[in-house]
Amino acid sequence: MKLRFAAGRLLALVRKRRLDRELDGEILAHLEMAEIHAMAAGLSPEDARREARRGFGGIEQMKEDHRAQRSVRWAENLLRDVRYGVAALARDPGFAAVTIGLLALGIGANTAVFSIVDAVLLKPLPFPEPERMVRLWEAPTPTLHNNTTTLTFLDWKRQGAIFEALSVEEPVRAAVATGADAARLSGKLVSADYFNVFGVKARIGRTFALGEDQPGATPVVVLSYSLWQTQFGADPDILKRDLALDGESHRIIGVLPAGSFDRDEARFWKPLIFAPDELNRGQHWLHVIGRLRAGVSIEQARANMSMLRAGLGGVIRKRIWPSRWTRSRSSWFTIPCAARSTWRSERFCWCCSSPAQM
Amino acid sequence: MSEHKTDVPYGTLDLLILKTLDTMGPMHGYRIARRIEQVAENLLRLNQGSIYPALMRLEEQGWIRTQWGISETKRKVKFYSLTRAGAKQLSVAVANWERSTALVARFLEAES
Repeated sequence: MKLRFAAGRLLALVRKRRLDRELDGEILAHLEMAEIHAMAAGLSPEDARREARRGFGGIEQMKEDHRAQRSVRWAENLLRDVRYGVAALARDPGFAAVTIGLLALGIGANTAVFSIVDAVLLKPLPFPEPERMVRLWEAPTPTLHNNTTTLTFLDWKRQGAIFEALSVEEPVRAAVATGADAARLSGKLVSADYFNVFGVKARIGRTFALGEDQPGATPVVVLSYSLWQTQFGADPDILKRDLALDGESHRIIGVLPAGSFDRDEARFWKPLIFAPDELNRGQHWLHVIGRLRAGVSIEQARANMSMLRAGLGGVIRKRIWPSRWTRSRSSWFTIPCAARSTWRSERFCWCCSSPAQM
Repeated sequence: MSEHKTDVPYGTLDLLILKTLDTMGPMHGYRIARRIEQVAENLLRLNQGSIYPALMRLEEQGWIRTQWGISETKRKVKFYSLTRAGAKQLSVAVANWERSTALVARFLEAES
């Protein structure tokens, strides 16, 4: 029954064009016959044509009426369909509930999936030249995470010809006391280069300076716009204040602009200073993001990384990957952030691609 | 001449068409219009075109049906004919019409 109605609707559309065409044909035939008739009554061809038209009346007006008749009918049908549908559903509320529930779920699921697809695949990242932003990984092996190690990161960092900026990014939580309230907030430990990767400048103050992620540097912190708004009441003299993270005082050096970073869970960013015991190649713990230099393609970056990998291979193999299996399989790779793989607005999603091993 | 012609009384065109088809059998649009004019003997001001929306309306109601045929001018045209439902509707419409005119007539007589 329902199928018939749906088919009827569809047919009505096709039908409209056909009916218009048929009506035109009828009008033509009508006028022709009226003309012949008038000529038989003794009128000249011109007069006969005029007479036929006069007798017929306004053609366009009539066509409008004709269509109106059809569409009134159409609307009536629709109303009847709706009534029938409502009545059918009312007869069986259980079925109705299931149907409506399924529809709601279906629509909801579609919306949700589209939102993700839109965010992850369709919309560009909200940062300047997002195509230059990349994530750097080690290839996963059965025993090792594909996060990288401190020393390997520092090796990568020396690739100044490829990367304009390269940063680690580690989530952290810290107790923050502002006034009487205390709360645990999410933040990120990052390299001083971090905001250069994103091409984001501070709204107030500055972001991290070179060297602020080195041992002995003064503890500093950058706040998100929303933290500044909510916890500090948008205090314009924010730079004169300190933020205690887990009881340790940090100088507030900047506040980020409103926008993309507010969608991140992180409310503050502070430099990640490597401890001496972290300087090794055994602990695969770092997430690395970078910004390619202008004009460097992802292929060039990958090639360069392979070369670097080969050059360091001896050192790494001897020290870190003793097993034959990992020796043969381990590698590094670089994934563009923007190109369908990684994240949306500084919040990293996941890598759904599995890039070729290098 | 045209001063003496009246417009088609409101709502009666359908009735005229149904009656015409009932009397004359299947016809195409032009013949229906001509037939109505002839029966009215020039008393009626009919825009011949106006029968087409009416025909569409009647067809949608299921009171007439169409078939393709060839006109006197050798054109493919639609021939309209009365359906069984249309014949029934005609008797209803005729009865309604007679009732209304009788009512109006009675008023006019009473007032005069």
